[in-house]
Amino acid sequence: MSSTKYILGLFDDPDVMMHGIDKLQKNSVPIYDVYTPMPIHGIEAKLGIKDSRLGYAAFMFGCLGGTTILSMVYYFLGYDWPMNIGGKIHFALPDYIPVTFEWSVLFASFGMAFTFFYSTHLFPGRAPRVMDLRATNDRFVIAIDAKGSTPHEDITNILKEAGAVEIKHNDRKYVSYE
Amino acid sequence: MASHKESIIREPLVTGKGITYAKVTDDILAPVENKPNRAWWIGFTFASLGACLWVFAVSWTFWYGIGSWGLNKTVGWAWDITGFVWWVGIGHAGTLISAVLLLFRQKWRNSINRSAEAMTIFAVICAATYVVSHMGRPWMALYCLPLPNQYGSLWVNFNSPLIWDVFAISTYFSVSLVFWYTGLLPDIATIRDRGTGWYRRIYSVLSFGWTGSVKTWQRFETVSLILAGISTPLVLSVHTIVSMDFATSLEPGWHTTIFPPYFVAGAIFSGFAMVQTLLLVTRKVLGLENYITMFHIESMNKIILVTGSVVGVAYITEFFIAYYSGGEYEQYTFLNRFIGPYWWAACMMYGCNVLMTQVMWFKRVRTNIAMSWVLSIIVNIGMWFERFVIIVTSLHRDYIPSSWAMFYPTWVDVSVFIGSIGVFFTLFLLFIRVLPSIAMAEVKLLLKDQSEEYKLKQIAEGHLDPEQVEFYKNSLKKFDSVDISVYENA
Amino acid sequence: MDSNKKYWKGLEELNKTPEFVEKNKHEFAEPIPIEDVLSGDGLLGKTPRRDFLKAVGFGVGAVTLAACQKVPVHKSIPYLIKPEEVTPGVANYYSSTYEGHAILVKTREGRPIKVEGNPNDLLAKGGLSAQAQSSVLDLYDVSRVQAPLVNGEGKAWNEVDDYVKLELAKIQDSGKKIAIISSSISSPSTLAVIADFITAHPTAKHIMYDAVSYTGIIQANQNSFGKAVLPHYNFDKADVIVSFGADFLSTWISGEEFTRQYVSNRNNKSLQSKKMSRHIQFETGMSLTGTNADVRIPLKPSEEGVALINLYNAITGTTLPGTKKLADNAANNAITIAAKELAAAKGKALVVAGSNDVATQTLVNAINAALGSYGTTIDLDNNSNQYKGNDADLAAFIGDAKKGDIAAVLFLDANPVYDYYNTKEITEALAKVPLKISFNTSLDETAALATVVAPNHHYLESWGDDSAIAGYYTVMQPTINPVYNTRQAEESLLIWSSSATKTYYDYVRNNWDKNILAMGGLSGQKGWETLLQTGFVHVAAKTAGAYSFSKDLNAVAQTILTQSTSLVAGDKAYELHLYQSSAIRDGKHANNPWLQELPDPVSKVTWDNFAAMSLTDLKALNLQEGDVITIDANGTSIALPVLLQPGQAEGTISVAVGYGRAKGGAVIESGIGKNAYPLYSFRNGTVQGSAVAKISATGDQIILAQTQTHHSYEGRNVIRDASFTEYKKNPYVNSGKDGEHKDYKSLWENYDRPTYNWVMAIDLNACTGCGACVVACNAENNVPVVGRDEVRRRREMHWIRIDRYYTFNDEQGKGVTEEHEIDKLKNINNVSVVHQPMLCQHCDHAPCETVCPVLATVHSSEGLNHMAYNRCVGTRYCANNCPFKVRRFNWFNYWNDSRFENYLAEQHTQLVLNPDVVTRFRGVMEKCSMCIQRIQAGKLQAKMEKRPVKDGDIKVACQQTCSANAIVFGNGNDPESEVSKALRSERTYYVLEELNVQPGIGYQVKVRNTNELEA
Repeated sequence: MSSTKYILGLFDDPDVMMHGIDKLQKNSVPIYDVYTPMPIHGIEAKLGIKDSRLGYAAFMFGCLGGTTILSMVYYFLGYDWPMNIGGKIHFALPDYIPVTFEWSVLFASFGMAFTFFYSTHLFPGRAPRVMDLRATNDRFVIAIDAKGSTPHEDITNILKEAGAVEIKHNDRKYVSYE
Repeated sequence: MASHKESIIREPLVTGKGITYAKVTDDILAPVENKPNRAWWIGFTFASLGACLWVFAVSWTFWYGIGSWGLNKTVGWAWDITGFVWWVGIGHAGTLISAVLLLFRQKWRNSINRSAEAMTIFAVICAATYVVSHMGRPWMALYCLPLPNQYGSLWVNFNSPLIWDVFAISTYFSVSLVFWYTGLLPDIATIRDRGTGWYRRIYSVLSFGWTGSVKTWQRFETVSLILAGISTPLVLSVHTIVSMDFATSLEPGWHTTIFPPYFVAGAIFSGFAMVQTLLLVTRKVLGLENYITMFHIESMNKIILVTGSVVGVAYITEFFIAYYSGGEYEQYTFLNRFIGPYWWAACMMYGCNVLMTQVMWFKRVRTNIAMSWVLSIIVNIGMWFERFVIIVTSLHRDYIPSSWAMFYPTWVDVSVFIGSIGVFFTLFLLFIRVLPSIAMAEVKLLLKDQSEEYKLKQIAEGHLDPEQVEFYKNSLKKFDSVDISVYENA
Repeated sequence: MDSNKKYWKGLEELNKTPEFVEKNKHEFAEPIPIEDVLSGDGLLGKTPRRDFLKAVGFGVGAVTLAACQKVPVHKSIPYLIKPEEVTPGVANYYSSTYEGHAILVKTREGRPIKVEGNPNDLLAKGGLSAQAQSSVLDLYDVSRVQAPLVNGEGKAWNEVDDYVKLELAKIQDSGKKIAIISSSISSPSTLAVIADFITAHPTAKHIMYDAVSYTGIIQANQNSFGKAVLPHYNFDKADVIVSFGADFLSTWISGEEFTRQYVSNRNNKSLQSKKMSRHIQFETGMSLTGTNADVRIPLKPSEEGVALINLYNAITGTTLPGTKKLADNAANNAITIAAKELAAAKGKALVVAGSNDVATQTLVNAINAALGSYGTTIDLDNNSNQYKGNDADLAAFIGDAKKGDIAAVLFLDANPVYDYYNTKEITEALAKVPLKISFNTSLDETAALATVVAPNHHYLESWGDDSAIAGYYTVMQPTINPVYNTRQAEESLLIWSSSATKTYYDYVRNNWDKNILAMGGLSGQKGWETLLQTGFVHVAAKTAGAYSFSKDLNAVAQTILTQSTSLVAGDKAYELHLYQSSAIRDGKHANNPWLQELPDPVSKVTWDNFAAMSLTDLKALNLQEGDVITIDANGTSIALPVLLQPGQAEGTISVAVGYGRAKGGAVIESGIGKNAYPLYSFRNGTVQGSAVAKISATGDQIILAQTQTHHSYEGRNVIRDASFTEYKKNPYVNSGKDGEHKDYKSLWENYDRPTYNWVMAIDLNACTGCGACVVACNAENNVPVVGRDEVRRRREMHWIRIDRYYTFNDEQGKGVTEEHEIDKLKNINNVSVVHQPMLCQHCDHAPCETVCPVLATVHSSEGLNHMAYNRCVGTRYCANNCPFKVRRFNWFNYWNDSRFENYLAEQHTQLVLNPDVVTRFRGVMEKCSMCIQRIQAGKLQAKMEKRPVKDGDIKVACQQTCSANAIVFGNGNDPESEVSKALRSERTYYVLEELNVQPGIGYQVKVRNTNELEA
């Protein structure tokens, strides 16, 4: 066995790359991942990736935010120290709608964003696990785990046929720094 | 996406020849990866001098007290809250461009949303400085947060629009920041992967380890969409709440139910004008004419025209309601705008905002860069005066005539305002030096079928309705970044 | 069960280490430096225990030290033995007297902090003027002369005495004259001391003169009735009052007393019995009294005499020689009507004139005699002692001095170098007097020229007495040790006349024991102590006699007419009219920042005097308000900014005296206004304040520091007024209470006010606009003074202000208040004025409370709008949202900022602060608290006495000082309280009630007795 760990097919056009994915899948070559400089629509379906559930998270966080602030306000102004403010009733609900809305939005967006960071393992200082440095620039990269049963030359050929501009046999999983 | 073929009659969103994914990256990152040019240095010098002026004037205020401003017993807010509302309003355009236009699938937003969002953040920073510096005791600003304190269980007043403001502005700022930064991650990763040494290390930390894998992109898009979805009502709520500072009060001229939509429209109006002001300069100085095209300029001008007219209608409604309500004090306040001692401010307001922007009905004006730029500045002046008129002209003559007074600004008032513009530009100029001022990933999305090059290829291939092709060619005439001669041969 | 257990304090005790044993011998771990402290050295020691003592004693110690001689003020020592009468935190009240009024002085920890009226005071029944209220601040004035001076050098008192006695002895030998120049002295003991001095130095003569003189009246009474006195006027007995330029509600003789009398015929009580006096005012400039008149006719100084002659003719049916009609028809008409009304009210009528001309006052005497006023509205038998000056005496002194006949002059409360009309002459005269002694408290213009300055005490440091009205004796007692090294002038005089009585206290005691106490049915030590508590002795008044006038008036009329003719201004000239401003008066208190910042009741100008002119004249001269003009009269000229004064007689200029002081304190020396005294002239034996003046524009401009710049109420529901005829027909008229009121619904149920609901009622018909309440509030609530520049920026801090609105009457007599319609009026001199005290309304639906982000202002269960300064962050939103604009923001740190040092932030002036009220830091909002410290004190007192608060227990500062009793404060929950009764009045309305903020202060409709003129 060679020391190749991953085979990368580098495309310069997203449409061609999508075509390449089809080809690989037809040949039952398992695709490890695809790295692109921009989102490619329709690729999830092709790779069988389930819909994101971040929306539900956002909704739940939003509900939490609204409830939190409204209970806080009730505690502050209705329970802990009710006061006569301009002759208004202690729990003047219409007045509290703006803050309730704001905190719903705040919790929803922060909750969701941080869930996203958490689930995608993004955080400041995380070592970037990059297989090819041009994947964030102008190359659309299909990564194939070299450990699979298909001979490496076949994969290379399929990629070549599919129109890959360059094919790399990487000995390391990540070319980036630690 | 690839399957989607855009109609030829739509104008290209990216112009120029030989635009490849790599060229997009190279063009947009040019200012970040190279030494700044002379224009940048000149701008930065002026901006940072302004920022220094701000530091000086604000320190002066802190040292001596709010008395160093021109306020008095009758006019308790003037340049401070005028500046605050002005900046918050300006901030709105960024969120609108990135959120609302994203929801509406307006792809032309892709080239301008990044800098517009940055502008939002800097404008809100400027607004927030006013919130703190206008306080009599800014060192006690923490009292505005519902924190436990030495007064036992004394909390904050959730009935007060100022508390709503605290919540709205802080939420708006932080959500905008998250939205903006999340969008920046792929582009920071690009810079990282092109760089070396400490430069790469810094951007590596900033990139959060972005790789661009399929799952990441998918979640990224979901996050963007949902953030856009909730930012839209958020941005509307923010200026609604700012307007409630006035609308829920008792002051004639403030106590107006039309304020929320009126303020939101005004905010979009002034925000787009500020985006226009900035981008017209940025595209020139950074050589980004191919990405921020005449189509963008004209589209923004159209929005300015529409919102300007909405604001105009709001003005008329206000006057009508003042007349129709029969409210004595309300009527006087609106009459006083024209016949009172601040008539000139009202003239600036109505003139700049309504009358001047009406010239944008003419395409020649809309597609003229110099005029667009001047008009965008006029709009911002007009919108400043709108807030000045609402705040000062209403306050200076309210219910009890014995307390009627004039407001005269001091040098500190003026310096804090001019200084805040300096702060804003300093931040903006630093931003375009260290971060891509155009969202590269999103522009790359356009390359495939919305670029001029692609459309030219389509025309060359034939199969298109010649009438549509002709229409397309005509629409290209206004572009300053398109070599029209190519089409004559085609 | 006893425990045998032993607890150690530590291992040291268990082991009984030698150090522990040594230490434990003594009671305290460390020796206490008692010896050191007592031997004096310890004061410099640095033990923590002393710091504790310092802290305990600081409050009381600071003042004691401030009042001690020779001890540096920055040190403090506690009371070793607490004075019996001082309880920290509890105020003591001492009865005393100010300008003849019986007063109470509130002291805290040994320092006087406020002057309050004695409710039993004969004159004003507890009302006090702004001057009296502010007098306490003068006590702590750092510009006072702090030690005696001889030839400008500080000396000890015995050196001064030696020097003066030697000099006086030399003069005695030479036989030259000595003059004692004072302003009017009504104190029996002071007069006795001066008499004793004259006995000791027979060449001495006492000359009394007043800066603003009443010689005219005194001389006229001498000529008419053989009594050279100022009569005692009874405005309460007058149904019809006609005044010719007499500002009797403010500056004329006894403003507070006259206000009380005057208002008693116009207040709610009087109106409800369908009675209201009628007041017609003829005057040149708009005076406070003029603003309150039912009918006010602008009249030039030259026309005043003619008008009086016409009035005399109309009343008596005679025609004095030389009689001519007035040029103005309205004025002629008014004279006819006034005559008719006066004649109809015979015995209940009163005519007064402000003129200092003997002939004019003689004519007034004749009119009053014809109206039967003597014995009813004018009392010549219980005369007033308030003014006694004789202008001729001072003129004679100057003549003597210039000849070199005078060897010594003593100035007691007199500053002729400033306020004598001929500065040059008096300076020349004084240059020839070798020994000049000043008792003045500050180094004023006269004291600056003196050889010896023997600074007098402030009255709050003095023993003394007074007698403003014959038969009414008030006593003065010190409320603090002298703050500076001063000595009472009377004591100096006693020493210099080698009197047997060494202290003035003994002298006063003797004098009272001998002459006065018995009149009040008192005697001995006990009587004296009773007196010190009650404050006065009032001998039953003599029956006022009726006097008839029998002198020939032809010569008098001739003099008046000649004088009138001489005053008629030619082309491009104006008739000048000098007056005293309500706040600064004759200028003696010009160094008082409270008074300087008290807005003039009419012009609302602070910190300056000005030239008031009519719109017609300003237009003719093409002048704007604030343009500086030179006024040239009597050979001198002064430059002043002009002020557009509605109601000013056309062709006239009014200028206030009392400004332009050159020396006598830091406030004065910052330059306030111009001295108008040199514009006076000496005519017919008296000093008179009218002249012909030429004016010219200088081209300069000054922004006058006005607290109000918009002068009409725009027809808004701020002011409601009615005529007396309308009121009689329908007492509800214009108050909106007769069904016109909408029932403003609340969205929520109102909060309970379980015990108290503090509310206020203000009677617009009683308020004369004098502004005493403003100063009282300043003193009570530590309201900072901000100075001219800040007032210009509209930042005065007053918690209560008096809004003054003009209603301009057009040709048809219809009132016009809207700005754009006023602009169309040709003549804006026919104005009606209303004064409205405006303070925090303590709204039940307070708009300020809802918008405060930090809950710094919330409502109490007693109906008060609270302000928590500590919580305020200073967003100013509350002030913006206040429809009444009564909230005041601390723009600067007024208590610790060098720019405001001259006002209240001086080292000693801060001792005047009320310790019950905090001073506010910069950046916080403040406003009227309804004197919450007084409410709390009242509630505490009631609680200690185990009873509920009674109506009248608690008086707020503004209410307390109001001579007109226009402000009533109390518990709205008590239906029998005065305030509830007042608010039930048909006339009650609430300002801007349509906003439904539910103010806690009800105002009562202003009623004017205008109807009869039109008839």
